[in-house]
Amino acid sequence: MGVNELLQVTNLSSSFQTEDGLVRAVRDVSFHISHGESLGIVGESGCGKSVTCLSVMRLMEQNGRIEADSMRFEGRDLLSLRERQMQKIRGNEMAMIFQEPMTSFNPVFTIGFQLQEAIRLHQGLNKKAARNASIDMLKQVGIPRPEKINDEYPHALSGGMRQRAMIAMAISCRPKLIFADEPTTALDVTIQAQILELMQKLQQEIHTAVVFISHDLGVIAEMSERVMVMYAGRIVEIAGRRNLFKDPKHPYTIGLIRSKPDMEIESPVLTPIPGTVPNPLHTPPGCPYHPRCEHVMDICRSTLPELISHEQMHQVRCWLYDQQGAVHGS
Amino acid sequence: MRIYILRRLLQVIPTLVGTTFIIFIIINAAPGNPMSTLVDPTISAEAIERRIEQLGLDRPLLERYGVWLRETFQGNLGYSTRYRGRPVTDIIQSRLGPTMLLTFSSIFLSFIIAVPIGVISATRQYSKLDYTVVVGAIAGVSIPVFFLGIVLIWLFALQFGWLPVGGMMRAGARYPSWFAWAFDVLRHLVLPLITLTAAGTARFVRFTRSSMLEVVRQDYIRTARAKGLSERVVIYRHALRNSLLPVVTILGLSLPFLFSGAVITEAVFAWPGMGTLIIEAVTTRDYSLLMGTNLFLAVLVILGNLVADLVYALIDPRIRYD
Repeated sequence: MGVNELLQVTNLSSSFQTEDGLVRAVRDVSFHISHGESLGIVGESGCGKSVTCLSVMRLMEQNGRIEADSMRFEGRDLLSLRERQMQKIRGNEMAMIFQEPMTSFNPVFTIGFQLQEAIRLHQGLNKKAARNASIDMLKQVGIPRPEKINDEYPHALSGGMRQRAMIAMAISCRPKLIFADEPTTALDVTIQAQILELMQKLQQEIHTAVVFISHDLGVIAEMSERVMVMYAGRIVEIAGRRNLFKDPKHPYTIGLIRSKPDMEIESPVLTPIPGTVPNPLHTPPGCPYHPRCEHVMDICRSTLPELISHEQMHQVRCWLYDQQGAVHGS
Repeated sequence: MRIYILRRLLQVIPTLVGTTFIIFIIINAAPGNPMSTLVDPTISAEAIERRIEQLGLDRPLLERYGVWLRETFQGNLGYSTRYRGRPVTDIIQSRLGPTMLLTFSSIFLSFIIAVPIGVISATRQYSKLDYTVVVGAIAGVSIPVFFLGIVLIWLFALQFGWLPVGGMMRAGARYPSWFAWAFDVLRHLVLPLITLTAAGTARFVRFTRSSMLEVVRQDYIRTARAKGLSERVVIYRHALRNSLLPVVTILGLSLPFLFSGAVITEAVFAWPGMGTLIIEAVTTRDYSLLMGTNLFLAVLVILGNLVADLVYALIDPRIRYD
């Protein structure tokens, strides 16, 4: 972990108090991201991807609790900041792009108003300057007739256009870190490609770090230099993109890759992972993946494996690779 | 937009004809007639018979409704039997002022009081404050206005003697100045206003709270927080405007409700408004007056709906009438 880290999260755990009991959505998650880097988080629904990001931005609902050994953003400890200081970071140094462009804009305010709100708040521009800045931003994300769209209400825009506007809002204050929470999931495929391309272009232009969340390995492969695989609230594998796709270690990662259609390999049959994601109220003891794992051993049922370094920058949480990758047991 | 309003106003006519027809039938189905409460019991049956004939009350129902409708379209609502032949339009006009004063100040007060309470209660859901508000609001909608009214009269007029029991002015009073008159009306207004406002506030608190709870869960509220806006801006700029959308509809729809709520309140406090008039008209079987006042309420219902729809289009950009 060099000094260049932008964000350093150590042992983050987030939980929700619900009517049915305590849901531990994120458990002991540690990761870091450097300036300008792109990190992908992949996993099935409910694995804690989104909650991890919301926790870092401290945007959890009232019933949510965040605990961590530390959560440092450019040397500041996010956990000990006052809400007011946190507000200065949100939208300014750290921004978020949400999954649902259709519902993420306030229906009663114009697109321009919603963009200018952040610009005026963080950059102290006057009305006119903020308006110009907002039109500039809309132009930058490839929205046609930005002056006109600026004065439109969200309902007048298509999903793709709204997501562009959402991206414009996120980058409007040149944040150092952007969380993109499944930004293309709600869009159709042709629009998806455009949005991904736009995000890559913008990331290079403004040199911002991006945490890209997706359940789509194809999207992750495209967008991230490093990939973090999550299962039932925990990191199960974290590796560079090339390593992860060429040499996946964790049976879950292997399962995910196998269940993704590949145009180059002419195999007409996909291999899905059997079973379903565990209920977050009752995660199985030991390794949470063991009920679905084809390599399950006795120890998996009782004891949770540590996240261990397999190679340089390749960590995996699995008993198969305990002791520097030496195969355990059988 | 203009065409929309025009179309809506044209729809008013058949609605009113239908409403008044039903009311006409119901009133005439009720036992008794204008003579049964007015007339000295010593007057002979023949004399009553003759009077009924004079008033045309022996004619077939449909014919009488036809006559009423024809005259109404010409702006003549008929003459009251209770008020010795005074034109109904006259009587309604004289009662409108007091009712408007009571009703509109009550709506205004309820709204001003209820919205902040609803918002605060919703933003602190499940807190002690929230529970207090919820229980208070349920109590407010549950207590009948006549009961609350009587309790207030007993307490503030009879026990403490601070405020008058009822009416709008002191009987036979002559006021030395405009100010003295206003002050006396205000003193008379306090108790009925509290009674009516208590119920209205309770209703609006419940609407605002539930609407707000719904809105703060929306994605765009999270977006607003993610921008770094303060909680105050998130709630009072982004959430409040959205949560007031349904409340505006309720406000429009509750106009007639408030008037009918005022019927009972006015009766309890002998407030010389429309409510008291309606009750008088019913108890004395004053057909013209009853039809006139009911027509007035029906117009109010329709206008309330129309205004609510139009205001909705003003505050919600997603709604356009064209």
